[in-house]
This record gives sequence, structure tokens and C-alpha cells, in this order.
Amino acid sequence: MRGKLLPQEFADLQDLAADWSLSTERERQGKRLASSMQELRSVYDRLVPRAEAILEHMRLLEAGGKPKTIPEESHNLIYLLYSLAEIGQAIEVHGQPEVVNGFEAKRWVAEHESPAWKAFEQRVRPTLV
Amino acid sequence: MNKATNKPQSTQRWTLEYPELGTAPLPLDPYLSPSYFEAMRDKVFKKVWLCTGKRVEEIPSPGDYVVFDLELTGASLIIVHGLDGIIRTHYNMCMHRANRLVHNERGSCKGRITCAFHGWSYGLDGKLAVATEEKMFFDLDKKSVSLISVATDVWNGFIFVNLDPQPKETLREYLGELWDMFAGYDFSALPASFSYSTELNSCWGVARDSQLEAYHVKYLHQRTAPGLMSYAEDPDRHALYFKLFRRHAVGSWYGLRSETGLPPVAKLAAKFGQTIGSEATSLSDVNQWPKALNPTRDKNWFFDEAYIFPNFHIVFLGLHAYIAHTFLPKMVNKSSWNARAYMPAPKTLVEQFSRESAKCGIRDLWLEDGSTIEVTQKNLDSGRFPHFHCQDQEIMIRHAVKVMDELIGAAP
Ligand code: FES
Ligand SMILES: [Fe+2]
Repeated sequence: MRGKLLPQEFADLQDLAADWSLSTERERQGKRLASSMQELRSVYDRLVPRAEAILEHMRLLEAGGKPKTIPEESHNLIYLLYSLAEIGQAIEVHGQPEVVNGFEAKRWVAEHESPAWKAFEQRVRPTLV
Repeated sequence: MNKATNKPQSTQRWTLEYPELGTAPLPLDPYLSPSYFEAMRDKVFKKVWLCTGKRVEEIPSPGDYVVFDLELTGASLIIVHGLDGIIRTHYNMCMHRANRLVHNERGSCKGRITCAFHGWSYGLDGKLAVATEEKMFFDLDKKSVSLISVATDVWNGFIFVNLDPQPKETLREYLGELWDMFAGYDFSALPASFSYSTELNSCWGVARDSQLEAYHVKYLHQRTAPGLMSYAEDPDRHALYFKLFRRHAVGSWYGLRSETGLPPVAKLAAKFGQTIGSEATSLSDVNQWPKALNPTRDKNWFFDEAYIFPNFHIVFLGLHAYIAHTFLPKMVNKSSWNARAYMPAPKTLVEQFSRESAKCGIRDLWLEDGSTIEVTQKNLDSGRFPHFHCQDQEIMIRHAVKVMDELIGAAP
């Protein structure tokens, strides 16, 4: 069983997928908080120059209207970009992985990640990601 | 009274426009005293209209429900969309032997609320429909049994409850000037985008106050909302406007969002949707905004806040984005906090990325807010802290404390 594959044209980022193509905010935030600034910086420096290309990939997926499904590889790519949103906070905002003096992230519970909230979202506003 | 359409004069002090507020430091009783807490529970939280923080869009169809726990009174409430379209609130309490009826925070029941204990079943209007093994009871008059209901009303889609069996005021009377102040703001077009909750080891007042002034934004949020919050010509001031009502209050704040240079990821995200770094006043013509929003019509506007006494804060980030905070007391030194952001649903995958990034930014800003609350409580508990100093731009705190004092009949 191969790990998380990325679309062919993003083969250069493939080694990041296993650690950073994470499907939930909790996992992405957790990974950010568990990483050193050095690790975060190196991922940041590789993803920032590729971010526009990833966004373009996302645009193409919807170019012919809303797709019914998104290929697994593209999902992984999108989650990688979502991880950049987390990593960007550490690099661009806080200068360290966690919020400076911040309230304990674990206790700040995301209601929007609860199964009941997600089920409701899918019912009234189905999303692809 | 200050004019709503001008920047404040540098000599203006809003607090002095409300001489009844005084200017003295704030005593700690409302924060620490167990007897004050009990009075607050009995004379305020059990008597006035409380915003649940839930919206009608969360229960769009008959049978949809959300649960609202008001732990300081022991009440767990089911807010349910009836078959007749009416939204009702019932105690989450079976009338047989008081078991809890629904255990999940939200869901949908098909026309009936059924107790898992012995199978009693109620209509969405609360009337007892089925008492299982009915013949085995002795003097049960099924028609006279129904769930205990709670007064419920809706303002701009927000669901309010009042635990008083005979509320002294309608919601409209309670909200007063606020009732139609935000007419024209399309709350219903902005779904709840993300929502965080926590339980705090702090009194409710300290938690509530953390979102009742913007003096702190320039300092505590210097990283998440960098360098954008004072007039060049009047550097000690961030507020554009305040107006206090009998219970509630509104305020408006300055912000130089257009001039802050955003780093790469933040910039990318701001390109495709509103984030903390977006300049909301450039997204639509401020002169077309509802009058209550950005009342000074300042181009360098950051946000407005409406405080709905006692427990609900709306922070308007623009015509198409707002935040709602619900703070609830639990015990004298325990409280809960729910923070939600409402924004248009992303229409594309790219917008969805922008939203994800906005979420991380706002979430981290809230973690900064949260950083002050429990440690403040600990310091208060040390017994060595004398009183809170309260500057002019913290007027909404001063006002809220006074309103509470009056309602519970505490000596000034
Ligand atoms: S307690 Fe609900 S049916 Fe008995
Ligand atoms: Fe704040």
C-alpha cells in the first residue's frame, strides 16, 4: 500500500504528503504544534513557491463546473495547502509553532469538526473537501 | 451626545457623557463574590432574555433541534423546529421520571421526541403523545402532561430564551433600540463558518470582559492583527464611537488594514476571500451599509461590536462577515465561551482555502484572547488585587457592570 499520492505534476512535493496531507484541522494544527521551527520553515519554503500552482490545480478541477468527486491525489494536494495555512501562522505571525502565551490549543474545541456539525453541513451545504 | 458621523475630538471622553457611570476603579465583588453570583443567577440569568448563540438556520426543517445548556441554572434546553414551523424550547427533561431526552448537541427527530428510559414520547410542541403501558398508571391524565416550555423568540435569526415562566418584557422590549438597529444587515446570508468552544476556570465576568473592549487589540493582538490600530493624529485612541443603551451597548473601532503589508500566505488567502487582513471597507461602498454599521463611515474602519446584555457579543467585521461570542457563567469561578465566525459559504475550492487560512488566523487570535482569562482569575484569587482600572475606551465594561449592579439591586 503506497502512502498518500499527489498529482503527477507535484511529484516534487511528494515527500511532504505523508506528514502534511492531513484531512482535519485538528491534525494539521497538531502537526504544526509538534514540529520545530526549523521543520516548519523548510516546509514553508518549499510550499510557498508552489502555492499558486496548487490553487491553479484547484481551479482546473472546477473548470467544467462542480465536479462530483475529487480524485484522492488532488485531495491530498489541497490538504497540503491547508497545512500551509497553519504553517504560515507559525512562520509569519507568531515566530514560533504555538501562539505566544496562548490559551491551550487542545482546550479550544472546534465545534465545526464534530460529526454532528459536519453531518449538518453536508445536509445544507455539501462541500467537496 | 457625540455626533455619529464624525471622528471623535481628541478631548472627547465618552465616559463623561454618561455621568451616572462615574470614573472610579471597578470593585471586584461582581467577579469574585459567591453571593453576587447567586443574585446574578436568580435575578438576571433566570429572568432576562438570553441569546443562545444558536441561529434559526441551524434548525431549518421541522424536527431539527439544537441543545442549549445553561448550567448555572441546571437547565438543559431543547430548541426545536415544530411541525407548524414554530421554534419552541423545552426543558430537556422527561415528565415521567426526569430523564434527559436528547443527548447529542444537535440532530433531527421525526416529529417525536422520545425518552430512552421508558419510551414516553412527545410531540415537537411538547405535548405527551405516548405514555407506554399507559393502563398501568393510576391517575395519569395524558392530556395534562407536556414538556416544560421556555419562552422563546428570535431577533435577526438569533434564538433567545427567557427562563422566567412569566417574562416581564418581550424580547423586543428587552432589546429596545437594538431591535431594528441592524435592519438591512443580512445575517441570514452568512452561515456559521467555524465555531470553537471551551470551558474556562474563571468567573464569567473576566471572560466576558475579554471581548468587551478593544483597548487590548493593539497590544495583545500585535502579532495576529499587526500595527493597525490607532489614528496617526490621536495615537491613544482606537474607538470611533460608543453608544450605551439601558442594558446593551455598541461601539466602533478604527483600523488601518489597507496599509498593513501582508506576508505571503496571509496575502494569498486575503486575495480570495475575507480574512483578518482584508480591508472590509474596500469590498463594498460603506455609504450603502446599514446605518448602525460603521456609524462614522470611516474608511479606516476595523470593526463594530454590539453587546447584548448579559451574554452575547456580535463583532461586525464588515458587511459580509461577523463574529459572535457567547459567554455563560457556570459557577462563581467557572464559565464557558463559544466563539463563532459567520461568513458567506465558499463557492470554490480556492475560496475554501482562503477560508481555511482565515480560520487559522482568527482562531489563533482567539487563543491570544484566551491567554489572559484564567491567569487573571488566579491573580484575583490571590486576594492581593485591589480593583480594575478602566479607561475611557473600556466604557462598555463599566456600563455592563453597572447594568448588572442595578438589576440585582447591589449597592453602587
Ligand atoms: S423517564 Fe422518560 S420515560 Fe421514564
Ligand atoms: Fe481580542
